[in-house]
Amino acid sequence: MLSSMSAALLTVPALSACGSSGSKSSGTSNSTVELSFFYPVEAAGPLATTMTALVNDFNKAHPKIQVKPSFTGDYATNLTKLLTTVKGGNPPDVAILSLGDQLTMLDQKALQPLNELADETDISIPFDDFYPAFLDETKQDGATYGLPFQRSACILYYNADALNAVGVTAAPATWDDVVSAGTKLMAKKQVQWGVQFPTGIWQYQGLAIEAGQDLNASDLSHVNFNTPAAVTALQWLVDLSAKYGVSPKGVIDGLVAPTAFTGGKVGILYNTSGSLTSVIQQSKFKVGTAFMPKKEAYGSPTGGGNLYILKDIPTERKRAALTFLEWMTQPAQGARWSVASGYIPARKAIVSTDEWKAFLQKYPQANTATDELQYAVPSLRSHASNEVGSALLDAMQAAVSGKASAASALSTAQKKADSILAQYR
Amino acid sequence: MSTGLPSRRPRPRSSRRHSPVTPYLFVLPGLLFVVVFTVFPIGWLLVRSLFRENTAHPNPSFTGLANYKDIFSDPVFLKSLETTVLYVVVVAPVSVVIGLVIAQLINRKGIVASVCRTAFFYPIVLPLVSAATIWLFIMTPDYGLLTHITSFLHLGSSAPLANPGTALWAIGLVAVWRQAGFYAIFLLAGLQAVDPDVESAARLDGASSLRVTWHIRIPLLWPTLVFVLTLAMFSAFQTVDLVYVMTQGGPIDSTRVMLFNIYETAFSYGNTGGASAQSVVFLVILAVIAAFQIFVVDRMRSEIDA
Repeated sequence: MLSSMSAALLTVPALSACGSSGSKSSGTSNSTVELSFFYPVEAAGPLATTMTALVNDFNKAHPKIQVKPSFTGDYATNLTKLLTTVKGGNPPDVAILSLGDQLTMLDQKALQPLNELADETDISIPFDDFYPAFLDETKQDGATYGLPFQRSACILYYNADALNAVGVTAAPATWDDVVSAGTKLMAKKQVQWGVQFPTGIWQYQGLAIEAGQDLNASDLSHVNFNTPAAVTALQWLVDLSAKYGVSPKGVIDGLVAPTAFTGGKVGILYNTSGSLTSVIQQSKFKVGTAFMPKKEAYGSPTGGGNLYILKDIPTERKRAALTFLEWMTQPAQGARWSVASGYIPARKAIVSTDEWKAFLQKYPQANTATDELQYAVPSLRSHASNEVGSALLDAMQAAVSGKASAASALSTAQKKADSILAQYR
Repeated sequence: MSTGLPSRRPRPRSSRRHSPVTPYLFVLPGLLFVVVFTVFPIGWLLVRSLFRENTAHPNPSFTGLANYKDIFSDPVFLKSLETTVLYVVVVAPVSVVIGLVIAQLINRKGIVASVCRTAFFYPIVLPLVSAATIWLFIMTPDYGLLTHITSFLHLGSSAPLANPGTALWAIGLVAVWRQAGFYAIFLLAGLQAVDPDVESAARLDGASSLRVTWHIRIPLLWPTLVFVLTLAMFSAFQTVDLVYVMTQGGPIDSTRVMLFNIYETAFSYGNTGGASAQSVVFLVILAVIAAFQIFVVDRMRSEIDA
């Protein structure tokens, strides 16, 4: 964390230096514009390496723009660093944000409307080619703030070889299927644990939707944490360990869980589709994928992040930043990123690239998340997303470690969220 | 300018002529440093704690003591206060006592003692974040070294960091492991300053090792002990790195110590006003401990010297 913060600090003199040299001459001068770029990774696999390679290629193709990427950790840490730099008056130029964090940054009035910037410059952004489900999430009050980039859904991964060995040939499609498959796997000692469901609010939102009601309310200053559906969903998570014994007791770390799965210790894993490539490549068995199994209905949150430009930076850098965004979201780059990760192609044009087609040929599992989008809803979105999310996470942790019942934990979370959100009503 | 000839004027008089300003000039760099990096930030913190500034109110507005009212009715802050005090009250004395045991063990000559000295001192040389990461791997549920050991001993699997009842003490264990050897160095110096004649006299009178320790060494060591205990309390109060790396304050806020809560309130939740008020409370607690150190310990020192 410190190293990337100091890296961000170190770029300041360089940036201001080039700003002053840029002012001497016009935009067509030989001066180089330096951009700093914050990006988080919260999926399994060496994605930071791919990101660095992408940025290097951009820099090679654009000698007058040099982008310096900074890996900022997970989404929450990324937001923390962004808020700190924005408050310090020293924001990066470009950042990847999750959807919930976009709202927090908009509350700080820190993001640049991209449609306005595209109109002011002669850089054309093919907004129409992005999947509307993703692009619409980045719109607020008529402005478009982000370009969809690393988008995902929560899907089910299963060890197909182990399931076959215990006579389960179809992918688990319902909550009950998950429990029965997990029980059979453990009875035959195929795995150490049948199921791992990471203790994370993003994955949990999928369960709540499946149980009948989304956690998001109709506006940004309310959330639905204390509903029968939310309680049913959390109770089922608790039951996986307490009642059915197919899952370890206590909090399950979402970043450790994929390693347990690929190591063959866990039979069924709930995880982001952004981990797909890494999970398949690291597993020595056949990996099956499926929609998040249903209760009343199918459901999953959309996940991942979009590319944003910060507002309080000089015009010259905004222009360079938009050039960078345009390049990063081109079909060639988009395909490279999706193939390396398993992220859903954010643009229609990416799907028809040869690279993506070849990838699908090899790993048909990559279609699961795209197909699941028809049941997907935006991930948890509210004001003060970090703080509201942390209230819900506390409730999940309390319930799965047996410190509170699902109902009382969620009631506490709702009260906390309401007291935080009251300021925005 | 000197002419190379020794001046006939005596030195003291020449320095006395500059004396009204000179001492202040010598103090100035240090004073400036303290003012810029300590006094000013604390003053600024006090001011900020009187303003409401959070993501709902991006523009600061004066609100008097409202931030203080808010934090003292905020269950998360109160819990963090309680967690911190509990942590300090247990971890600080335990690390000092273990430090004392270590100091006793290595208070002898020979190659074994110096090897042990290095081994006990080693953890303090490790960067805290590396140490935390190593222990995080050891304590990883299901696959960590600890769970392999407990499984081997048929004690079942163990996941101390995933359990709200044990997470704080798992962090405390790492803190003790890291700090005890460091405190042992101070205590060793204290032990070696104990007059050997007093000890020999006691032994001639037939006192056992335990009695010598209890009635001779510890009373004579008392000022060093209190000093080390104060150090240990400061260090325990300032715990944040271990929490950041190992638990992020969880599970269910069981390891959310004050400093971590302040950090999250300010930087993750963007609530500058609330975080400033919490920091002021934190500073007051530290000031009380510092005052205890200055007044009580120094008095004990002078009593022993007298």
